[in-house]
Amino acid sequence: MGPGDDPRLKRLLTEWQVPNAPDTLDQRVFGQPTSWWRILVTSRVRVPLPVALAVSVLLVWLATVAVRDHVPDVQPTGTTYDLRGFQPVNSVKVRIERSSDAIP
Amino acid sequence: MTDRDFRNAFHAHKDVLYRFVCRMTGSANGAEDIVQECFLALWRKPGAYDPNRGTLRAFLLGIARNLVLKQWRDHHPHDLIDEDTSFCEPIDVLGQERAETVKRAVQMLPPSQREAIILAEYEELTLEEIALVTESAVSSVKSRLHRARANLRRMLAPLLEERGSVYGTR
Repeated sequence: MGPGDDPRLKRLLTEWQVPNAPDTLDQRVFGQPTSWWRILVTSRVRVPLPVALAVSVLLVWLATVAVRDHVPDVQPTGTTYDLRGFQPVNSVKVRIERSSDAIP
Repeated sequence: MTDRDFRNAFHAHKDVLYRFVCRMTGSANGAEDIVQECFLALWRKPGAYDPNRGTLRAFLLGIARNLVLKQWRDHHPHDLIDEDTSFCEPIDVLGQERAETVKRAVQMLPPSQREAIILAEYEELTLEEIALVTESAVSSVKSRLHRARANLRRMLAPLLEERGSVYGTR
């Protein structure tokens, strides 16, 4: 490196070796590797407030329109009756029957 | 700085930072803490790095150096970082491993000499890069390296003489 170099001293100094950085350093800096589902559950997306508000308003408007335009399609169930030409009876005769008169 | 840029920077420079901090502090756990701090600082304030002023490696080494010195000041509130007059006595090498002796010798250097010798001898930075990392003039770096080598020669004299006799150098 320069005029002050001393080959003997240089050789002696190299006898002290230090290992490279251990793998634990990677984990300390970057953290433990995470699974895809954890990323999916815990990930965050930063959205500017105006964009978030605009998207919220749009979603509410779409939901309102969808509910308003929805016509319930209810089909009548069972027998249907046609009441055209129905005439109520003029008089009602009531006959009371005892149980002994009942037809066996 | 994108996530990808950050990952690339991390993988390109983590080892040099870790080795530098390890050698400066002598502690593997402490080194991990400091290197993590360096990259967090880069992630939090990527604009602090100006490519016109030097390489990203030099920038990150500068952050690591500041953190190491901060920690050192906390533990040695009355010692000077840059001791021009420091004079390290020879180490008693009997019964010690050679690598352990070298480690001990390097760590006995004052911080300013230690960082200069580590960056020059182990990480092979140029004088200009070391000056950038340590926020010093190139002339100061030269002077610190000179003093560091003189101190190391003195501390490691028994090993240097032994090696000289074995390999027949000087």
